[in-house]
Amino acid sequence: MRGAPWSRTTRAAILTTVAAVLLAACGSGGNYPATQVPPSTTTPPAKVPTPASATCTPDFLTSYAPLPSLDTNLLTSDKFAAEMTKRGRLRVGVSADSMLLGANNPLTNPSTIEGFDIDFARAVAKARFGDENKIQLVVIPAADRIPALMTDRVDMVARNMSMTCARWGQIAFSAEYYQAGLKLLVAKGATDTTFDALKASTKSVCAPTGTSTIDFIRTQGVTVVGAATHTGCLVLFQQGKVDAIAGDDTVLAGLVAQDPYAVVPKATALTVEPYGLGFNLGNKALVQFTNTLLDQMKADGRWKAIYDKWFAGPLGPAPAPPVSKYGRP
Amino acid sequence: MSQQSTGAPPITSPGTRPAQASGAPAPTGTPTGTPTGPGARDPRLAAPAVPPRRGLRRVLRTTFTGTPGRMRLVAALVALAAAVFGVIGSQTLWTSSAALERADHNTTQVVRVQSIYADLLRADADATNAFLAGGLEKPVQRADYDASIGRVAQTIAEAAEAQPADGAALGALNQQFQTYTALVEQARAYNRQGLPVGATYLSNASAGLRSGALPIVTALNQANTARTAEEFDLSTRSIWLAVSGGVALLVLFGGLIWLARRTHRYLNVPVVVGVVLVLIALVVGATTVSQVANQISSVRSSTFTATLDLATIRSAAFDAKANESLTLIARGSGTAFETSWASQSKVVTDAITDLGGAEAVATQSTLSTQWAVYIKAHQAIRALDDGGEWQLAVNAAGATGAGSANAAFATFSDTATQALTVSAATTSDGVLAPRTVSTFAGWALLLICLVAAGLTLRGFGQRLEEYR
Repeated sequence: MRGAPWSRTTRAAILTTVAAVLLAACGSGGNYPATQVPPSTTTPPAKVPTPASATCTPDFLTSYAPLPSLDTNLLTSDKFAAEMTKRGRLRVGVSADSMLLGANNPLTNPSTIEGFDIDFARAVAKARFGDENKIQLVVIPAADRIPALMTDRVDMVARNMSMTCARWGQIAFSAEYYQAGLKLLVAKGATDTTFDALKASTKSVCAPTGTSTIDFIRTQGVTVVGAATHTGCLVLFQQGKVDAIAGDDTVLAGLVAQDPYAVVPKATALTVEPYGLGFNLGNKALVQFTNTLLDQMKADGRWKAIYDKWFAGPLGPAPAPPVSKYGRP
Repeated sequence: MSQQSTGAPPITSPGTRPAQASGAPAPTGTPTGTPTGPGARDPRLAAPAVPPRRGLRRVLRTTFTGTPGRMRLVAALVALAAAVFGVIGSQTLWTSSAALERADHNTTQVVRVQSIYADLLRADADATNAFLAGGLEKPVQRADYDASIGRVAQTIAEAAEAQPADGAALGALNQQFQTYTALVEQARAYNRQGLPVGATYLSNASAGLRSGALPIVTALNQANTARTAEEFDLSTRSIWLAVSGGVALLVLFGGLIWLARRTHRYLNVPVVVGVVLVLIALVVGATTVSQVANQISSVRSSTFTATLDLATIRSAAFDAKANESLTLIARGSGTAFETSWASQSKVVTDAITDLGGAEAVATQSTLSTQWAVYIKAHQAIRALDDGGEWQLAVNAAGATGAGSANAAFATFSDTATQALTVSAATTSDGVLAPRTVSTFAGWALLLICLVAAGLTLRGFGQRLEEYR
C-alpha cells in the first residue's frame, strides 16, 4: 500500500539527495594548520665601536701623579671617598672566566675568583681598608668595563684593560701595571697562523666585543666574530665556528691551559697592550692612591711575585715591571 | 486543538483552491501539464511502479504532472525537508560532541606544552643552581635535573603523537632541547675539572634555551589554546540546526495545508504526527545545544581558566627560580636577571589573584601564602648579595633545609603542580560531560526526523491511493 504510489525513480532520487546532504554535513574536524615555528632570536650584531684616536696629549700611558704615601687620610673627602668609606669595601669589576687573570676556581672551598688581576685588586683593597678581603668582586663582561665605571657600579676595574686615548676620554687609568701583546690562538697543527694567512684563506677570527682587540682585528681584513668574553670565543673555537682567537698573550695563555688542542704560535706581538686599572673619571684621588701602591709593588718585589705566581710557567721569566708615567694635570 | 486551528483553512479552501492551484505548484505543474493534456491521465497508469519502456525524461514528466504528480512532488519535498533536518540536526549534535572531544585533547596538549615549559626551566634552575657550588653538584639536584629532562623528552614525544599539527614545531623544539642538554653536559664536564670555560658553556645553554627553545613552546601553547577556543565555539554552534529545523517545520506545515486544501479533507493524521515529531526534534536539538553551551561556558569561565592560570603560575615560578640562580652566577652583573625574576614573580602573583572558581579559593590562598614565603627567602638572598656578601648569598641560595629559598619554592611548586593536575582533570571531565547527551540526542533527532519523513510519505501515499 505504501510502496505502490512511489516509483523506483522517485525513491532513488530521495535517497540520493539524503545521502548527498549526509556527506556534505560530515565536516572534517580537527585538521589544524601546522603550528608555526617562531624564528630563533639571534643575538644582535656587535656594535661597531668608535675608532680609537691613536694619539692624544698627554699620551695614554700618562696617569695622575702618586700621593706621597698610602695614608688614607690623604684621600680627599670627595663623594667617591666618602661613599667608599661608608661601604667599607672596594667594589672591583673583574672577569670570572679569564684563567690566570681572573677566574672562578670552583675547586677551592668556598670557590674564589683568582688570578693576576685579582691579586692587584686585593692589594688595593688591603692598602685602602687594611684587609684584602674588604673587596666585592663584581663579574662583568669586557664590554661592561667602561659603563660599569661611568655609572659608578664599581670603584675600580681590574680586568686586563688596555689604556687607550679613546678610553681616557671616558674613564681614568692607573699607571701601567703590565704590558701584554696581541697574539693569535689557533688549532694545534693549523697552517694559517698569521692574520695574512687567515685573510688569504678567508678564515674567521674571534675577539670579545667592546675591546681594543676587536677594533684592531677589524683592520686586518679577516672575518671577525664577536663574543661576550674570550672564553665565549673558546667555546666557538671548540665548536668549530671560528678558526682563530685574537687576544693578549696573557689571556690566550689562560685559554691554552683549558684546551690541549689550542696553541699560541711563537710570534712577535702584533700590538702592545698596556694594562691599567680603570677608575671613574671623577675619582682622581683613588687613582693617585693606587699609583702610589703600584710604584711600591713594582719596587719591592711584590709585582714580580704576582707575575711569577701566574705567568712564569706559560709566558716565561718575569720581565722588568713597566715604568710608571705621570704628568697628567 | 491543532485540529481546530488547522481546521479553519479547509473551510475556506474551496474558494481559494483555484488560486492555490495556479499559485504554488503551478509554475512547474501547469505549463508542462497543459501541453500534455492527454498525459494528465497517464500518471495514474504509469505511476504505480509499472515501468514504461520509455526514456527517463518521460518517466519523470509523467510522474510529476497532474494532481497526483504534484502531490508526489510536494510529498518528496516535505519528506526531504524532514530528512535533511534529521541529517543536519544530528550532524550538528555529533559535531558538537566531536568538537568537545577535540577541545579536551587540545586542553590536554596545552597542559602538556606548559609542563614542557616548566620542566625546561626547572632543569635550568637546577643546572644553574648546582653550578653555584662548582663542579661538585648535589646528588639531589642532579637527580632532579635528570628527572626534569626525562619528563621533557617523554612529553615532547607524547605531544607529537597527540597533535600532528604540532609535529614540525615539536621537531624544532627537540633540536633546541638536544643542543641545550649537550651544552649542559659539556659545561658539567668542564666544571668537574674546574675550568672556567664550563661556565661559558652553561650560560650559552641557558641563553639558547631562552632564545631558541622557549619561544617555540610559547608558540605551541598559543596554537593549542586557540584550537581549544575554536572547538569550544564549534561545540556550541547551532545555527544550521535551527535553520534546517525551522525550514523543515515550515515545509511540513505548508505541505499539510496544501494537502488538506487539495483533498478537501481535514487533517492528514500521519502528516500531523510528522509535524509534531519535527517540532519535538527541533526542541530536543535546541535544548541539547543550549545545555552544552551552558556547560562549556561554565567550564571555560571556571576550571578551564583556572587550569591555564595554574599552568602559567608554575612556568613563571620556575622561570623566576632559574633567574635567581642566574643573578648570583652573574655575580654583580645580574640586574637583568633580577628584573626578570621580578616580572615573573608578578606573573605568578597576578595569576594567583586571577584564579577563579569556588573550589579554587583554598588553593588560591595556599599558593598566595607559599609564594610570599618564597619571596621573603629570595629577598634575603638578594639582601646578602647586594650587601656584598656574595658567598653567603650563594650558600643561602644553595641551601635546602627548612626556611631556605629552595625548600619554600619546592613547597610552592608541589602545591601548584598538584592543583594543576586536579584542575586539568576537572576541566577534562567538565568538557567531556555533555558528550554522551549530545551523541544520544543526535541519534534521537535523526531517528525522529526519519520517522517523520516516513510518516509524511505515508500520509501523502494514502491520498495518492485515491487517484488510482
